[in-house]
Amino acid sequence: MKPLKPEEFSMMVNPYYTMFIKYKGVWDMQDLYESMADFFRNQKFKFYETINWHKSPSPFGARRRYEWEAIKNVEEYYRFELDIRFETHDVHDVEIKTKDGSKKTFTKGRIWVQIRGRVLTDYGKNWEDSSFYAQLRNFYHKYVIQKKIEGDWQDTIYYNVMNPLHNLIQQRLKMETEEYEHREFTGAR
Amino acid sequence: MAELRIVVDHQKIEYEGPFDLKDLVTMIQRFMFERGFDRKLEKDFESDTKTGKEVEWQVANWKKVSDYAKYIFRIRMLVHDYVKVDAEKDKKKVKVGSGRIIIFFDGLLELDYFHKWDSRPFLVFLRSLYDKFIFKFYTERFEQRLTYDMTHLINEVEKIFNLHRHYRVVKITSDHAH
Repeated sequence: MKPLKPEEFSMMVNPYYTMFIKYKGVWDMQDLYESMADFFRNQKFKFYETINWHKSPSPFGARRRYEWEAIKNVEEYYRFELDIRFETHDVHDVEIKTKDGSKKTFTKGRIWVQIRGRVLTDYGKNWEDSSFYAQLRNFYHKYVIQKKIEGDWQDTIYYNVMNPLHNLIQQRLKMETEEYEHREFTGAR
Repeated sequence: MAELRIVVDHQKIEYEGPFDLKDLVTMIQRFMFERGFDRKLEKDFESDTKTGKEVEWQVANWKKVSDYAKYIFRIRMLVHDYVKVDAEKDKKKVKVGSGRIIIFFDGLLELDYFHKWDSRPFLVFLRSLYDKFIFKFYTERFEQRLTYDMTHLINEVEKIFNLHRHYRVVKITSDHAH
């Protein structure tokens, strides 16, 4: 078992499962990029692009890396944070003829997406003025609201944010395993 | 370390022919959802090749059955050369998927998942005694229910592929346990 970091031990940072997608084929990069950004806008997240990195093309194609950070304060005491990282490798543009005869530029290559989500408690650090307050907060996390964090907020971020986002990416990439059976669970339409 | 028991060990289904991957994935997810399992998607990889699509999909859905025991259903699916082919259904032309698929099923029972009994060797020893002698009936019952659910899922998957099946309700822990 991995040792916990101090902020994880005190349950100030509660990470959830990391999700991955790997895809090799043809996709519409502009559409994917916009859809993902729109998703965060619709969910009312504060959204930052921390890295937009482009490496000049090698003989196999260009390599790009994007790192996004999305933050939403769900309550005075709880905050959702998401780290999205996606990399494209060996990509080059290809022209595709659509059914109506028009031409569209798509991207061909490999893409790797990583979605990491966590629930932050006491994000304003209101309980860090003294060591006594910090201990009190740790006690509160460990014995009073532990189930609420794990069963309520972590599930909310996983099923209401990370899963729909994952499904959206699958849809945009037109993946075969595109399914989302837990949508009823989340109340999503 | 919590005790992790392998109850269903790498049950395998291999199939080659027409099938709908989307239907299969949806069916597995629905099965889990109906039984109150939480979803943990571990792998979702797909690549287009000249011969068709290669897909690797793995979930490890879990469910806490008590404050001591937890079920983990790990399903790993490998699909090779998956292509869409023309077929006739009700005198209509439809596209169906076709390819080669291998599915592995693992059923795991995690005991003491809160790690309350593994801080000291003596506690681990006590836990073993408790599991094997005192709580034995319940531990076996958990294993049996896990096997039952897994056998049911395997049967559902076999139904999708239209394979020969021999499903019967599990009365005791089956042969492939342990």
